[in-house]
Amino acid sequence: MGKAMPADSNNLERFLATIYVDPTARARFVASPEAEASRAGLSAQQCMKLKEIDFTGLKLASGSFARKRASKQAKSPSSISGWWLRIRMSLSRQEWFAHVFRFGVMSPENRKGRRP
Amino acid sequence: MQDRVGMGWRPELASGILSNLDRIDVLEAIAEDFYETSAGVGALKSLARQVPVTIHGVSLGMASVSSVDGKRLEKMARLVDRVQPESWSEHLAFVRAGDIEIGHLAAPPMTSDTIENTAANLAAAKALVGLSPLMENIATLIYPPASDRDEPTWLSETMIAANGDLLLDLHNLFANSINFGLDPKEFLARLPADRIHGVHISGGQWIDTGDAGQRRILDDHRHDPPDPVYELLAELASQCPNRLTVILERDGDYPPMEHLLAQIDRARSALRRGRADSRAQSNTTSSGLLTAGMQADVSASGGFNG
Repeated sequence: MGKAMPADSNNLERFLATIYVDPTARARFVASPEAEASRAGLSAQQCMKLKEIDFTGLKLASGSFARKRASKQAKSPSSISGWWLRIRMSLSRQEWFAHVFRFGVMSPENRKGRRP
Repeated sequence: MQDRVGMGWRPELASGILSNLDRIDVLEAIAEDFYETSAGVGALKSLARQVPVTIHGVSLGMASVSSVDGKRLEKMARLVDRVQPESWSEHLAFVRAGDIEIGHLAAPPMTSDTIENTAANLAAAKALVGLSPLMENIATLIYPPASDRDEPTWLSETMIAANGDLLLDLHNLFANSINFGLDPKEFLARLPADRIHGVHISGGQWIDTGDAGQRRILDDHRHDPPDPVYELLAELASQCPNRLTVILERDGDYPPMEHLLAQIDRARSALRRGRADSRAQSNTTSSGLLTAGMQADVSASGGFNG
C-alpha cells in the first residue's frame, strides 16, 4: 500500500471530509476559515489556502454529497434483495425466460448482427 | 483498430440491453452492485461470455493521501477474478478520511502529495488485482481546495507518476472546465493522449449557485450528453493513437432504450469523424513532407533547369 504521507496532508483530507459531511463544522469553518483550519492542526500554509476556498462550491458540493448519502441509504436495505430482483421486476416473465436463462446461447441472428 | 461504444449496465435497463446486444459493443458493470450477490456475479460472468464487460469501481478512494483500503481492494480482486472482465477502472477521487464517509467522489487537493500516494495506491491495486485499473477523472462542484496546480496538470502528472492509463470522462472534463473557467478543448489537448484508453460520456444539468446569475453544471447522469461532449469525443479520436472504448452512462430518468441506442450511434459517428480528421491531417502532413522532400531533391540537383 502507499507509503505514509505527511501528517499535514492526512489532516487536510480529514478536515475536508469533516466540513463536507458535518453541517455544524461547516458553519463554523465558513464563519472563521483560518481559525477553524488552525484548530484542526493544519499548517499555516494550508490555513491560508483554505481561507481562499471556493465557498460557493463548498455549499453545492456538501449538498450534493448529502443527497448521495441519503439516496444510498434509501437503496441499501439489502438493496431490495439486490439488483437481481430489480432486473426481475423490469422484465416480463416471457423476457425473463428468453434472456436470462439463455445467457450464453445467443441466437444466430444476434451473433450475425454483431460488429467485429 | 476499431473503437467500441457501449453503455453502463443498470438493472433498470436490463431488458433493453439484453434485447439489443447486437447494437452494444461493450458493457460496464458497477463493481459495488455485485459484492453482495453471488447470483449476480454468476449472471455477470455469463454476460461477459457474450459481450465484452468492464468493471467499474466507485468506492476505493484511490486519489488520497491515505492508503487504499486492503479489504475493499480484495473484494475488487475477487470480483475481477470471478468475472474475468477485459479491464477494470476506478476514480481519481477520495471518498473517506478515516471513519468519515463522504458518500460520493470528492476531488482531492491537487498537490504533489496526492500525486505520489495515488501512484502508490495504483501500484497496490495492480499488485493485488493483477490488472492495472484505468483511472477516471471526476466531476466536482467545488474547486479542489488547497490545490497548487490545475486539473490538466494534476491529471497528467498523476498518470505519468503512476505509469497508468486514463478513463477520460468527457462530461466531467466539460463540466469542470465550464465551472472553473478552463477551455474544454485546451484541457483535452493538455492530457497525455497516448494514455487514454477508455471514455465516459453522460449528461448533467445547470444548477443555480444561489449567487445572482451564477450557475454550475452538475454531472448527474440523468440527461443526454450535450453537443460539446460529442465534439470533444471527435476531437479526442483525432488525437488519440489508442483504440477507444466509450461507455454511455445513465443513472436515472431513463428514456426509452431506442433513445439511448441513438446516443451510442451518435458517439460512433463522432469517433468516425475524429478518426477521419486524424487520417486527413496525417495525409496532409505526409503529402507536405513529400512536397518538401521533392523540393529538397530538386534543389540538391540544382533545380529543374540545372
